[in-house]
Amino acid sequence: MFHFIQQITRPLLVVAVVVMMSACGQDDAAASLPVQGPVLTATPVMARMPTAEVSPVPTSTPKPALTLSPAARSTPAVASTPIPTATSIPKPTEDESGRVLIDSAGREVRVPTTVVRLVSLAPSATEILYAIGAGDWLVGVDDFSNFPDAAKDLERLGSFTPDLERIIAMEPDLVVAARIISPEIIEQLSNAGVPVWIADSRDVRGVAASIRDLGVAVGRESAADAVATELEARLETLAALVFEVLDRPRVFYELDASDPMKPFTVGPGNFVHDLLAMAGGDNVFADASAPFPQVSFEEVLARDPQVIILADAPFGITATAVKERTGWDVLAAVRDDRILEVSPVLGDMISRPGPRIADGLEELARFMHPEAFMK
Amino acid sequence: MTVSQGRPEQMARWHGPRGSLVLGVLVGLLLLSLMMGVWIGSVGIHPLALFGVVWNALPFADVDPWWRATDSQILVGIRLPRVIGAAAVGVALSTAGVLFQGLLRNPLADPFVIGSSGGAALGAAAGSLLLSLNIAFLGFGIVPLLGFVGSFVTVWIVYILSRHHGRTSISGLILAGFALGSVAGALNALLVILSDQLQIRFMQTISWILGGVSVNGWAPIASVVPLVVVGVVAGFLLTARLDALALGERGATRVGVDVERTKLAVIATASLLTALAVSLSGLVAFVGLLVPHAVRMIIGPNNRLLLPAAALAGGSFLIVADLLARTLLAPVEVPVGIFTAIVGSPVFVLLLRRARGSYDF
Amino acid sequence: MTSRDSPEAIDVRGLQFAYDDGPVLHSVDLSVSPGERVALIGPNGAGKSTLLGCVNGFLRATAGDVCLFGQDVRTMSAREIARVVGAVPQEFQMPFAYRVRTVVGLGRSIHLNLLGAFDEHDEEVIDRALERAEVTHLQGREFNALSGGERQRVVLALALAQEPDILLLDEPTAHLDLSHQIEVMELIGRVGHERGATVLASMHDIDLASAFFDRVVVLDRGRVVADGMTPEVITVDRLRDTFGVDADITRDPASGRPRVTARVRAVGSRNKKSSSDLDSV
Repeated sequence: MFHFIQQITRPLLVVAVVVMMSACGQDDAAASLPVQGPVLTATPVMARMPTAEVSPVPTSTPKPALTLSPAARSTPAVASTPIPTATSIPKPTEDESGRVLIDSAGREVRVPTTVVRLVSLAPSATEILYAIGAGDWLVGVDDFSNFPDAAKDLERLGSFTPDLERIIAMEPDLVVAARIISPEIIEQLSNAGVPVWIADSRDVRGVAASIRDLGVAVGRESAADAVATELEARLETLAALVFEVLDRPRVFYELDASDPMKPFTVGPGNFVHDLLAMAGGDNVFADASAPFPQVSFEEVLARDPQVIILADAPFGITATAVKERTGWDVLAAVRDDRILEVSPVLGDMISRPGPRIADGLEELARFMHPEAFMK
Repeated sequence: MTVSQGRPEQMARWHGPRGSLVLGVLVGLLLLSLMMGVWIGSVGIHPLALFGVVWNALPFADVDPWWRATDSQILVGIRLPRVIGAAAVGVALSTAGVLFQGLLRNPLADPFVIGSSGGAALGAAAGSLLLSLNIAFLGFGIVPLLGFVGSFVTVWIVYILSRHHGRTSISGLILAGFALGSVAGALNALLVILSDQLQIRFMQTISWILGGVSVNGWAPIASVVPLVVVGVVAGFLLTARLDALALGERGATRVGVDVERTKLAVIATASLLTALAVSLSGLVAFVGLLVPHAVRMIIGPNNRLLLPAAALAGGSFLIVADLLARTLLAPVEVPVGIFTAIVGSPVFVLLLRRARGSYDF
Repeated sequence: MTSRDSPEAIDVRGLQFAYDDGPVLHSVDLSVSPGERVALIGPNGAGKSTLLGCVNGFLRATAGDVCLFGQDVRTMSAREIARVVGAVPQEFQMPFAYRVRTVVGLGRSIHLNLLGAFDEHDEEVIDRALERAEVTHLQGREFNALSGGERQRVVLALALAQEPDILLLDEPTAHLDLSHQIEVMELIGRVGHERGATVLASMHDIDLASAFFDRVVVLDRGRVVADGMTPEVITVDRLRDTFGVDADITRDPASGRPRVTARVRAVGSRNKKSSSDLDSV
């Protein structure tokens, strides 16, 4: 009988873990994407494209509405944070111990009036903080924070299970994290009197808002607003470019094909899926029922993607390797050699809801629609 | 030549007409499942396309295809090997289940009972870490290869550990298997915690642990299926001695069976079959426990009929489970182990209740 | 060591056996001629089962020899021993729902061909074994569903299916009710007689042993303390000394064999024979 119980509980436990993990997965796509590979020798950040290079939108035509295909608009349980206007920012309640603000996850956080010691537990948060001029206040970051270069000199605090003792010992005024952080960690930090701010976004458009919100929290409101505005402008420009493109290629985004017959990809409801649509491609698995589904190669074959994006390139997967896989050679993407090996840098850019998201988006769009950028 | 009156037909020389009927039905069921498995999939393909593809494969035949080019690719390159692989897994696990249940004299035994699941998972985790080495052998990637090795080696360690004065006690096997399986599981967990790579590939590992038929073209089939056949035949040759083992080790010795050699042969055959299944599909729970058990309840414990019957039934069962796994939530692939558990648990409870407390199986 | 003349069926010389926690048999000598029927009796713990285990080769003696028809058991494989010796244990249960005929058929295990099939001869042997044990009418039923007495007979049939020259029985009537006990003993007597088999049976019931066997061997604390014809061995003194039992011995008018009745103290009365030493071994 004991053995029977063993039989039952083993798979049930695993199922329970899977369910919990996919529940977590719903909350945040970007931070959990497997693109944090080995840190390469620092390559200079891909220069931000000056807006002048991009051809201006003809003024005669009405400004294109920033419509996104329905599939790209994620269906989050929590509505994506709208761009805050003066009336929508909650009036901060002030007292000696600080203000109560609402973070990206909708939580009420009591933020100290003066914030000079910061800890970041998400690489996206690190990038935002540096972009808005709060980088110097960082005393510790997570293992994956590798941009900008200055962040690499900061003390590492762990990755999936951060070192709580050290964090508390640092006496930070605020800890910034992404949605994927476990509630236990938040609770333990709160019990120790350390407030936790979630800076995150379910979709690309929400990144600007999360930047602004974080800016308010750390007292760099105007700088944050500038960064967010510029980001929004670039996104608009790119959207306009893509809007003009007539054919949207079928895209297969490969997360993990250790088993080439059953690769992992992205489905709707996460960051990357959103990005693909904005870059002008159609995720072939937009009809999947999970954000990170495992699909059979049979389906990939039937959907015949024209572009393959190898998010597992940082782990050594090359386009050549893909071409050599049994049965993959008939795919349009392989025949036309439209396979993008995502570099670690690009991987970071497209998986982090931070200021470089537009860079990542642009690189994707360029790959899929080179002709749109050649004017 | 006097024939005793009233000799029950089922005891007669071969399996008797009843046995042949049962086997015949099961063979038919397997063929039907094979066809269904190839016809049905997440991608809709015209049923007659299969015949057309096969017809065209013949040298003299050539008809205009009424199917898409990808269809033939899917049918022949993906589905057919996968379905055959699923059958092989079902056959292997069921046969191993019959062998282990006979060896341990316990209907609740399954192929993973003496630690092979822990070893297989550990091997697969190690393989995940070494993926960048890009090793492939006979169509298998490094994960299934090391899974196979882990499964097989663990059983051997357990066997050696439980040997005492030239005898291997059954309870010793179970205890050592439990201990080693736990150690392997702990090492596995440690590996996952220490390795960022594995944490990132966590879903992959989970998927493997839950079991999923994964056949990369025809090469794995060519290497595994013949070995499965060999294993089943070897198991069949052992069935008479397996029945004698039901008398207990002392009882089996009394009737002249070399118990230690029989145990060794059974363990070797069963663990090979288990490892072969693991190489194709990871750890699929319940099949090795449930199929022999259910078949035994229907046709009786006589291993000579039970082993081939369970093998055939297991093959059909797994084809159907795999079919569900890849079509129910298409295009998402559900690990097949989830289906075998979902179907298996209530059926198992039902079977236990029908036995009504009397533990006669 | 092979004897030149026609060898004894069972020849035990100087047998010693020890388990991990201590010696059980100290230099046992026992000879049984072919066709003889011998009862082995002794108090619990005397070593009867151990002795039988050594005779059929399952237990390895620490010293001494055991020969079956002149051949040392240590040189014989389980298969060879099974051709000669049919060992009948106390009845048991099977872990699976085997039918009686299948169970009896297990006695033919060494005669199976490569595909594990019986031939017609094997089936006939099984038929005969079922008949002799008088369980033919039970052959289609589930073994575990039978009564204790029926199961014991089936176990006997299993041993008979081996077509052995020697039958070893280990307390075949334990756990059986009286009618079944007598039934089984009569069966053993008939079977032994028909086949000309040599029978060595350990018995816990002295009276039954005395009634059904011509020769009795008494084992006490690992040694043979008596070995001879039943009337000479089963005496009041022997019963008192070895078994610590006060008994009355009567002579059965029909067979001439001693019948044993143990004296039982009436509840509440004091024992008049204060001189008798009733401490058991």
